[in-house]
Amino acid sequence: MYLNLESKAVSETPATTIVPVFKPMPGHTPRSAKDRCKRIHRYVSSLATAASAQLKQALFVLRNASTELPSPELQAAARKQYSQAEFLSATKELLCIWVHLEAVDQGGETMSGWLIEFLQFSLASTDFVIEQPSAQSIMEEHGDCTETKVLIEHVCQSISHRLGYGPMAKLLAPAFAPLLEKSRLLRQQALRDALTIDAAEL
Amino acid sequence: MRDQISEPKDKTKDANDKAGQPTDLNTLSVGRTVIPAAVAAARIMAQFPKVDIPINTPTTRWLLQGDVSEADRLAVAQEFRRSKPKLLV
Repeated sequence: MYLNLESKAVSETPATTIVPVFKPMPGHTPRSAKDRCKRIHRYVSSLATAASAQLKQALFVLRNASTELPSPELQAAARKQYSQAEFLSATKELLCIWVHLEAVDQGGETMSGWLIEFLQFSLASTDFVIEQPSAQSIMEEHGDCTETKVLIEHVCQSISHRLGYGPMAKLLAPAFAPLLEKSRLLRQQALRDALTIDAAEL
Repeated sequence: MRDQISEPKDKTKDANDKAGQPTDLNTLSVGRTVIPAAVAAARIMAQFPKVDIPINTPTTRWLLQGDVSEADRLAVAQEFRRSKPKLLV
Protein backbone atom coordinates (compact mmCIF):
# COMPACT_ATOMS: atom_id res chain seq x y z
CA MET A 1 0.00 0.00 0.00
CA TYR A 2 1.30 3.45 -0.87
CA LEU A 3 0.01 6.81 0.16
CA ASN A 4 -0.44 9.45 -2.47
CA LEU A 5 -0.64 12.79 -0.75
CA GLU A 6 0.87 14.51 -3.75
CA SER A 7 -2.12 13.87 -5.99
CA LYS A 8 -4.30 15.55 -3.37
CA ALA A 9 -1.99 18.51 -3.36
CA VAL A 10 -1.69 19.02 -7.10
CA SER A 11 -5.41 18.60 -7.70
CA GLU A 12 -5.87 22.25 -6.68
CA THR A 13 -3.96 23.62 -9.66
CA PRO A 14 -2.40 21.63 -12.49
CA ALA A 15 1.35 22.18 -12.63
CA THR A 16 2.61 22.13 -16.17
CA THR A 17 5.26 24.84 -16.29
CA ILE A 18 8.63 23.71 -17.59
CA VAL A 19 11.45 25.35 -15.70
CA PRO A 20 14.47 26.30 -17.77
CA VAL A 21 17.65 24.97 -16.25
CA PHE A 22 20.02 27.67 -15.04
CA LYS A 23 23.33 26.88 -16.67
CA PRO A 24 26.26 28.69 -15.08
CA MET A 25 28.58 30.34 -17.61
CA PRO A 26 32.33 30.97 -17.36
CA GLY A 27 31.44 34.53 -16.28
CA HIS A 28 29.90 33.09 -13.13
CA THR A 29 33.19 31.60 -11.94
CA PRO A 30 34.03 32.93 -8.46
CA ARG A 31 36.82 35.50 -8.80
CA SER A 32 38.91 34.41 -5.83
CA ALA A 33 39.06 31.79 -3.09
CA LYS A 34 37.40 34.25 -0.70
CA ASP A 35 34.69 35.07 -3.20
CA ARG A 36 34.03 31.34 -3.65
CA CYS A 37 33.74 30.83 0.12
CA LYS A 38 31.19 33.62 0.40
CA ARG A 39 29.16 32.27 -2.51
CA ILE A 40 29.23 28.73 -1.09
CA HIS A 41 28.08 30.13 2.25
CA ARG A 42 25.19 31.88 0.54
CA TYR A 43 24.26 28.85 -1.59
CA VAL A 44 24.33 26.31 1.25
CA SER A 45 22.57 28.66 3.68
CA SER A 46 19.69 29.43 1.34
CA LEU A 47 19.37 25.79 0.31
CA ALA A 48 19.33 24.65 3.96
CA THR A 49 16.69 27.22 4.87
CA ALA A 50 14.56 26.12 1.92
CA ALA A 51 15.00 22.44 2.82
CA SER A 52 13.84 22.99 6.39
CA ALA A 53 10.87 25.09 5.22
CA GLN A 54 9.84 22.54 2.64
CA LEU A 55 10.11 19.63 5.05
CA LYS A 56 8.12 21.50 7.66
CA GLN A 57 5.45 22.20 5.07
CA ALA A 58 5.31 18.54 4.07
CA LEU A 59 4.90 17.48 7.70
CA PHE A 60 2.14 20.05 8.02
CA VAL A 61 0.31 18.56 5.04
CA LEU A 62 0.81 15.03 6.34
CA ARG A 63 -0.52 15.92 9.78
CA ASN A 64 -3.58 17.61 8.32
CA ALA A 65 -4.28 14.59 6.13
CA SER A 66 -3.87 12.14 9.02
CA THR A 67 -7.61 11.57 9.49
CA GLU A 68 -7.84 10.24 5.94
CA LEU A 69 -5.17 7.60 6.46
CA PRO A 70 -6.45 4.03 6.42
CA SER A 71 -5.30 2.73 9.81
CA PRO A 72 -5.11 4.07 13.37
CA GLU A 73 -1.38 3.27 13.44
CA LEU A 74 -0.74 5.40 10.35
CA GLN A 75 -2.91 8.18 11.67
CA ALA A 76 -1.02 8.22 14.96
CA ALA A 77 2.33 8.23 13.15
CA ALA A 78 1.27 11.13 10.90
CA ARG A 79 0.22 13.14 13.96
CA LYS A 80 3.35 12.48 15.98
CA GLN A 81 5.52 15.24 17.40
CA TYR A 82 9.06 15.61 16.04
CA SER A 83 12.13 16.20 18.10
CA GLN A 84 14.63 18.78 16.91
CA ALA A 85 17.17 16.01 16.33
CA GLU A 86 14.75 14.06 14.11
CA PHE A 87 13.83 17.13 12.09
CA LEU A 88 17.39 18.38 11.62
CA SER A 89 18.62 14.95 10.64
CA ALA A 90 15.92 14.66 7.95
CA THR A 91 16.62 18.23 6.79
CA LYS A 92 20.31 17.44 6.42
CA GLU A 93 19.56 14.45 4.25
CA LEU A 94 17.24 16.48 2.05
CA LEU A 95 19.87 19.23 1.75
CA CYS A 96 22.63 16.83 0.70
CA ILE A 97 20.46 15.07 -1.86
CA TRP A 98 19.41 18.43 -3.31
CA VAL A 99 23.08 19.28 -3.92
CA HIS A 100 23.48 15.91 -5.64
CA LEU A 101 20.37 16.44 -7.80
CA GLU A 102 21.70 19.86 -8.78
CA ALA A 103 24.96 18.27 -9.87
CA VAL A 104 22.95 15.81 -11.95
CA ASP A 105 20.91 18.62 -13.51
CA GLN A 106 24.12 20.47 -14.35
CA GLY A 107 25.32 17.51 -16.38
CA GLY A 108 27.30 15.42 -13.89
CA GLU A 109 30.80 14.77 -15.15
CA THR A 110 30.25 17.00 -18.18
CA MET A 111 29.94 20.26 -16.23
CA SER A 112 32.79 22.75 -15.88
CA GLY A 113 35.55 21.89 -13.43
CA TRP A 114 34.99 25.00 -11.34
CA LEU A 115 31.30 24.15 -10.95
CA ILE A 116 32.08 20.57 -9.93
CA GLU A 117 34.42 21.95 -7.26
CA PHE A 118 31.80 24.47 -6.17
CA LEU A 119 29.19 21.74 -5.66
CA GLN A 120 31.68 19.36 -4.02
CA PHE A 121 32.73 22.10 -1.63
CA SER A 122 29.08 22.99 -1.01
CA LEU A 123 28.24 19.40 -0.15
CA ALA A 124 31.14 19.25 2.33
CA SER A 125 30.03 22.59 3.78
CA THR A 126 26.58 21.29 4.70
CA ASP A 127 28.29 19.87 7.80
CA PHE A 128 28.78 23.43 9.04
CA VAL A 129 25.02 24.00 9.01
CA ILE A 130 23.90 20.65 10.48
CA GLU A 131 26.78 18.65 11.86
CA GLN A 132 25.15 15.23 12.09
CA PRO A 133 24.60 13.04 10.18
CA SER A 134 27.68 13.90 8.13
CA ALA A 135 27.31 14.58 4.43
CA GLN A 136 29.75 11.74 3.81
CA SER A 137 27.60 9.20 5.67
CA ILE A 138 24.42 10.33 3.90
CA MET A 139 25.96 10.08 0.46
CA GLU A 140 27.57 6.73 1.24
CA GLU A 141 24.23 5.41 2.44
CA HIS A 142 22.69 5.89 -1.01
CA GLY A 143 25.85 5.22 -2.99
CA ASP A 144 24.49 2.05 -4.58
CA CYS A 145 21.48 3.75 -6.18
CA THR A 146 22.19 3.97 -9.89
CA GLU A 147 18.89 5.50 -11.00
CA THR A 148 17.25 8.63 -9.74
CA LYS A 149 13.89 6.88 -9.28
CA VAL A 150 15.49 4.31 -6.99
CA LEU A 151 17.48 7.01 -5.22
CA ILE A 152 14.33 8.99 -4.48
CA GLU A 153 12.60 5.91 -3.03
CA HIS A 154 15.61 5.17 -0.81
CA VAL A 155 15.95 8.76 0.35
CA CYS A 156 12.23 9.02 1.14
CA GLN A 157 12.41 5.89 3.28
CA SER A 158 15.51 7.16 5.02
CA ILE A 159 13.92 10.55 5.74
CA SER A 160 10.84 8.77 7.02
CA HIS A 161 12.97 6.68 9.41
CA ARG A 162 14.88 9.74 10.57
CA LEU A 163 11.58 11.42 11.44
CA GLY A 164 10.86 8.56 13.82
CA TYR A 165 7.93 6.85 12.16
CA GLY A 166 9.29 3.44 13.13
CA PRO A 167 7.30 0.57 11.59
CA MET A 168 5.12 3.05 9.67
CA ALA A 169 8.13 4.67 7.98
CA LYS A 170 7.95 2.66 4.77
CA LEU A 171 4.26 3.43 4.28
CA LEU A 172 4.66 7.15 4.94
CA ALA A 173 7.83 7.51 2.86
CA PRO A 174 6.12 8.33 -0.49
CA ALA A 175 4.68 11.48 1.08
CA PHE A 176 8.17 12.97 0.91
CA ALA A 177 8.84 12.24 -2.77
CA PRO A 178 7.60 15.67 -3.98
CA LEU A 179 10.33 17.29 -1.88
CA LEU A 180 12.83 15.72 -4.24
CA GLU A 181 10.91 15.41 -7.50
CA LYS A 182 9.75 19.03 -7.43
CA SER A 183 12.87 20.61 -6.02
CA ARG A 184 14.39 21.92 -9.22
CA LEU A 185 12.97 25.43 -9.13
CA LEU A 186 14.14 26.05 -5.57
CA ARG A 187 17.56 24.55 -6.26
CA GLN A 188 18.02 26.57 -9.40
CA GLN A 189 17.05 29.80 -7.68
CA ALA A 190 19.55 29.18 -4.89
CA LEU A 191 22.38 28.39 -7.30
CA ARG A 192 21.62 31.30 -9.60
CA ASP A 193 21.41 33.70 -6.69
CA ALA A 194 24.69 32.51 -5.18
CA LEU A 195 26.56 32.73 -8.48
CA THR A 196 25.10 35.96 -9.82
CA ILE A 197 24.80 38.22 -6.81
CA ASP A 198 27.24 41.10 -6.79
CA ALA A 199 30.28 40.44 -4.62
CA ALA A 200 29.62 43.61 -2.65
CA GLU A 201 26.27 42.23 -1.50
CA LEU A 202 27.72 38.99 -0.15
CA MET B 1 24.77 42.63 -10.60
CA ARG B 2 26.67 39.85 -12.27
CA ASP B 3 25.43 38.22 -15.48
CA GLN B 4 21.81 37.29 -15.00
CA ILE B 5 19.95 34.77 -17.10
CA SER B 6 16.38 35.85 -17.59
CA GLU B 7 13.67 33.51 -16.42
CA PRO B 8 9.91 33.68 -16.18
CA LYS B 9 8.54 35.58 -13.21
CA ASP B 10 8.82 33.55 -10.04
CA LYS B 11 5.25 32.67 -9.10
CA THR B 12 6.29 30.64 -6.07
CA LYS B 13 7.95 33.67 -4.52
CA ASP B 14 4.82 35.72 -5.10
CA ALA B 15 2.69 33.04 -3.45
CA ASN B 16 5.04 32.88 -0.50
CA ASP B 17 5.06 36.66 -0.22
CA LYS B 18 1.29 36.71 -0.14
CA ALA B 19 1.02 33.91 2.39
CA GLY B 20 1.26 35.58 5.77
CA GLN B 21 2.51 34.09 8.97
CA PRO B 22 0.61 31.07 10.27
CA THR B 23 -2.10 32.08 12.71
CA ASP B 24 -2.05 28.63 14.29
CA LEU B 25 -1.10 25.12 13.29
CA ASN B 26 -4.17 24.63 11.11
CA THR B 27 -4.60 27.89 9.26
CA LEU B 28 -2.67 30.45 7.27
CA SER B 29 -3.77 34.00 6.61
CA VAL B 30 -3.62 35.35 3.07
CA GLY B 31 -4.49 39.02 3.24
CA ARG B 32 -7.71 39.12 5.24
CA THR B 33 -8.68 35.57 4.38
CA VAL B 34 -7.85 32.69 6.69
CA ILE B 35 -7.53 29.44 4.81
CA PRO B 36 -6.80 25.89 5.98
CA ALA B 37 -3.08 25.23 6.03
CA ALA B 38 -3.48 22.05 4.01
CA VAL B 39 -5.13 24.00 1.19
CA ALA B 40 -2.42 26.65 1.32
CA ALA B 41 0.28 24.00 1.31
CA ALA B 42 -1.36 22.25 -1.62
CA ARG B 43 -1.47 25.48 -3.60
CA ILE B 44 2.17 26.19 -2.90
CA MET B 45 3.29 22.66 -3.72
CA ALA B 46 1.22 22.68 -6.91
CA GLN B 47 3.35 25.52 -8.22
CA PHE B 48 6.43 23.37 -8.32
CA PRO B 49 6.64 22.24 -11.89
CA LYS B 50 6.73 18.65 -12.98
CA VAL B 51 10.17 17.87 -14.34
CA ASP B 52 11.77 14.94 -16.01
CA ILE B 53 14.69 13.78 -13.94
CA PRO B 54 17.26 11.98 -16.04
CA ILE B 55 17.92 8.32 -15.33
CA ASN B 56 21.29 6.56 -15.06
CA THR B 57 22.84 9.48 -13.24
CA PRO B 58 26.08 9.52 -11.26
CA THR B 59 25.72 7.94 -7.84
CA THR B 60 25.70 9.97 -4.66
CA ARG B 61 29.33 9.02 -3.99
CA TRP B 62 30.42 11.08 -6.98
CA LEU B 63 30.44 14.48 -5.28
CA LEU B 64 32.46 13.06 -2.38
CA GLN B 65 35.46 12.55 -4.61
CA GLY B 66 36.75 16.12 -4.57
CA ASP B 67 39.58 17.21 -2.33
CA VAL B 68 38.78 20.27 -0.26
CA SER B 69 41.98 21.79 1.08
CA GLU B 70 42.29 22.51 4.79
CA ALA B 71 42.76 26.22 4.07
CA ASP B 72 39.55 26.32 2.02
CA ARG B 73 37.70 24.33 4.66
CA LEU B 74 38.76 26.73 7.41
CA ALA B 75 37.86 29.75 5.30
CA VAL B 76 34.34 28.54 4.62
CA ALA B 77 33.97 27.40 8.26
CA GLN B 78 34.75 30.98 9.26
CA GLU B 79 31.95 32.23 7.00
CA PHE B 80 29.49 29.92 8.73
CA ARG B 81 30.75 30.95 12.16
CA ARG B 82 30.11 34.55 11.20
CA SER B 83 26.58 33.85 10.00
CA LYS B 84 24.69 30.59 10.32
CA PRO B 85 21.31 30.18 8.63
CA LYS B 86 18.35 30.01 10.97
CA LEU B 87 16.47 26.86 10.08
CA LEU B 88 12.74 26.43 10.53
CA VAL B 89 12.40 23.73 13.17
